[in-house]
Amino acid sequence: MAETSRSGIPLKSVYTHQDREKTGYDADLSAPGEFPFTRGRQASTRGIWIQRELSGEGTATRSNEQFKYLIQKGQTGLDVIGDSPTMACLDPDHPLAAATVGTQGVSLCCLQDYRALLQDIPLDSLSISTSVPAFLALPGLYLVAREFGFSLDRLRGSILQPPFYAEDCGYANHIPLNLRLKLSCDSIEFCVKEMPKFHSFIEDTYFFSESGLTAVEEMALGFIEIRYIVRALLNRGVDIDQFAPRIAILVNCSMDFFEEIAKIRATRRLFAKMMRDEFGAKDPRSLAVVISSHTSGLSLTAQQPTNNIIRGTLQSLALVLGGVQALEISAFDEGYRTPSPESHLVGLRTQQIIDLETNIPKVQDPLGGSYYVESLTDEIEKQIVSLIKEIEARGDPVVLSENGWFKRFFDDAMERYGRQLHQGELPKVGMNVHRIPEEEDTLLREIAEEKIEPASELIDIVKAHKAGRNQAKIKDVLTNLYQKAADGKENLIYPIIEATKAGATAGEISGMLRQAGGYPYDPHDLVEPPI
Amino acid sequence: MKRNRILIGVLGLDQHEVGAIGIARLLRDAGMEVIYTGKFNLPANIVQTSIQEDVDLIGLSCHSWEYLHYIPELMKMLKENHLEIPVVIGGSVITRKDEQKVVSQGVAAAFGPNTTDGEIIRRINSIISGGPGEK
Amino acid sequence: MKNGPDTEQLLKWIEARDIRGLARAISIVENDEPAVVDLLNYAFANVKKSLTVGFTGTPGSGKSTLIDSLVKDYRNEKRRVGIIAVDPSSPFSGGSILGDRIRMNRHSLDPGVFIRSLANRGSLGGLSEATKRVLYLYKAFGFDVIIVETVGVGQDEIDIVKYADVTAVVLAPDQGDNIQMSKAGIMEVADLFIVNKSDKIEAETTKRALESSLNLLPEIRRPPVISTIAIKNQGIDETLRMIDKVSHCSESNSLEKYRSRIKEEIRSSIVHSIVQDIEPFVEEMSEKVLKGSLTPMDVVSTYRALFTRQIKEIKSH
Repeated sequence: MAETSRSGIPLKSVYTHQDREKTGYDADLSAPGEFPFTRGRQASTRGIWIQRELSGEGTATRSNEQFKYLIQKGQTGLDVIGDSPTMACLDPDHPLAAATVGTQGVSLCCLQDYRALLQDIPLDSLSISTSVPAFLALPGLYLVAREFGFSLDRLRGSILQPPFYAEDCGYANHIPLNLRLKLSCDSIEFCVKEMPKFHSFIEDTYFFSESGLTAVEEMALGFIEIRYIVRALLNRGVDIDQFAPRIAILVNCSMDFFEEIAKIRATRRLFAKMMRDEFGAKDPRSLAVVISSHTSGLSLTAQQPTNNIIRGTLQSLALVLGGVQALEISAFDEGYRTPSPESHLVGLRTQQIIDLETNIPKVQDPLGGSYYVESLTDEIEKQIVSLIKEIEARGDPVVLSENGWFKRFFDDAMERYGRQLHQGELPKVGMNVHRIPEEEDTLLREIAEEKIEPASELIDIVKAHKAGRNQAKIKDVLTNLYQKAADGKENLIYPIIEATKAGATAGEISGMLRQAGGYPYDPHDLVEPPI
Repeated sequence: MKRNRILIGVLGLDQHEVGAIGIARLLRDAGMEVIYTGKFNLPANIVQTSIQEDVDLIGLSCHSWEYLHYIPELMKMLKENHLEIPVVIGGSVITRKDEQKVVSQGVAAAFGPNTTDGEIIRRINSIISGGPGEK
Repeated sequence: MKNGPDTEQLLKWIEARDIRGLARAISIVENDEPAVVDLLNYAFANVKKSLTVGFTGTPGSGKSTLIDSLVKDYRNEKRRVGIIAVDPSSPFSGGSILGDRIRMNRHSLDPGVFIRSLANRGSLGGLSEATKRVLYLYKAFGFDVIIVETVGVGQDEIDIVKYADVTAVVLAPDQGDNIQMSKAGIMEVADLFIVNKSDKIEAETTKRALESSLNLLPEIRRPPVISTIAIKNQGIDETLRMIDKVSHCSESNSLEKYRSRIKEEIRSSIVHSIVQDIEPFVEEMSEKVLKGSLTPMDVVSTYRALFTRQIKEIKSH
């Protein structure tokens, strides 16, 4: 039986110069920092990357302490994830939220939460990234940074734009697609004006590829979304070189070591070619895409948590060899819980050891010229392009999304993945091979299984906050937001900022947007609109 | 001809539906009728649905720890409505300790990450016919 | 094994409009348990006035979402609603995933709404016997509106027409199946067409294509076409009014319709019963055919000969 990579690319048992002869150096590789950037986005030989761990849990105050702990342990950037209600754009006092406030991430509901979250955090020297929905995170960040006296044109960090895929991949917020697309473009345009160094457009291929997608499928879908949003912005009259330098891709990293490296190199090359040849970008910074990364949570096991440390190490090694600008390792206990301080520490130390002890970062693209890696890079690039063409030929991604085509794509991938695991096609040490009895599986188990309780105190705090506001002002700002959203002509980030300043909550802002789009205020029919 | 009717759903804001869909397919392929209630359920509507659909078993798919919060309420409501419908839970986040906890609260079985498909079917059939839910 | 309450208790519950009675009774009639005869006789004798609406349409037409919105409007008018949602069974395993409820989850706590999901359990074509029986139970229980949501591909579509006061076909734009539906004969017998997801560009084309093919019918029999966007609750009120209007118009030939429905019911109930009874005979005869000692037509003759006497007796009654 022929051996293949995880994406199905046939693998030979050895690669030789004959596999290399097909491509010429300058056309397809070039030096790092030169088009098409296959070997690296910058000419510098020092492969510095932002070392961080995904964080956020409980209240904003508790998360702030967590950030300080991580910074003290050597983290060089922040990445914040919201709890289930926050990611679903609901408030802690929503009937469905009680059991999960603060347990999967941090609860961010109103401006006060952002203040507590970022208290004493040096926003002028530390980048702050977040996967909290951009139209809520951006106003929060913007207002707090200003309040704390930070200059907005130096603010670094990133927000995600997943309008096509979030609804189908566990992050549904029930805002109509056309409004989600508008909000994406609005937030990118807002940053072009107000926060020029901020990466306002992260194409997060990590989260949806955790549905069991192959590397090829991951990048194809990512590029489809990028292409759509780029075209939409160009249609608005925004100059490509104004926003393209702020596009970044957050990639997954699974266990097929060399394929993941090739995927990153192919992605850089593809992006550069696409930006220059299809979209006419001229600024070299528009062509050299920033790649950040998060190692795969799906690849981890609940059994034998220590195995996950090894997986994280191998994956981060692949990412460093591929050349990424930011790295997060999925915590070894992530099968059960949001990361413990211990697993966070292990993640950081893994990165620091690779960085300081192995000499690897001293040379760029060490695998460049490898018969195998170059062959794989070429093949992956070809397959990604082919899959993009195939999917775009099926129709407008908006239509595909509304028809549930992407949802079926993800569901099928998950079923395929489950089957492969089940039948042992995809070996998982500890899960389908080299298993040990439960009673023996004790190493690090206590840490892995410790839970955090929901931050229930927030429910009353939010209720009190809602009751104690200037109600007339709230009515004004929410009505204004509703009208602007229904109108659709202006950039909505500004009225959202006004609403946030007046004390409106994430659930209320999102509810207004839903209503403006013709959907019910509360997707679950359990909460009445405040106005 | 009678077929087992199983309610499958996900509680609270747990948005990972993959496990629930997987179990629904497994049970269908084993000849059962699955009343699939999807996401965003609370104990109250699980109970009402169970009554209307006259189900033989309630199965909750768990990817986060929210279910621990809802189980006592669910068991209480079933009792108040004089319903003797067995409840099972399944998912990779279920630890041994959690299993012991919910079983002591009246749940018939908890299928953690090491449970095979065959075991799930066997034990569900056993529970429905009034047998033990044990491994 | 569940030990259910006895038939007497169930009938008491049904009379008192306690859903426990209805829910259990549905299981009994679906599974052909012994109490089925008493339950259905009771139901037949206690049918109350109600409006039965059948909804059919391909998967992806947004049927369930439309029904969900419609139910909301019915409930605003304080009308009690009973829903039967039918989904196909797997031909391989006999099992089924019944997921229509998901779209109607918000009504699960409303005591004025009752939803039951049925698998068609490989019924031979058309509405399953179980669905027809459950419809009787619903009518005896007492709902202002009964909604039957069927799978919508094939014989089902036409069959529902015989059992519903109003049959609505739901279409979504840009679905190749729209052509298929026009072939199935449903065009001539449906009372109402709904073009859902009408915010899509192709909706206008679909509506016009539909109207032009309906124009082939004489005006008096031409069903109305309504545009809706179910997910945004648009066109729902119009749908509700139209259903009421159509049901009043059809009352004039309701006696004819009732007669033909009774005939249909008797026919299908007997056939259902015969199919179950002859199963051992079928098993035995198929062995003979496989051995080559009989042809299938010989089997039919054998059957008729064996049961001719019984048929003669029935005819003379």
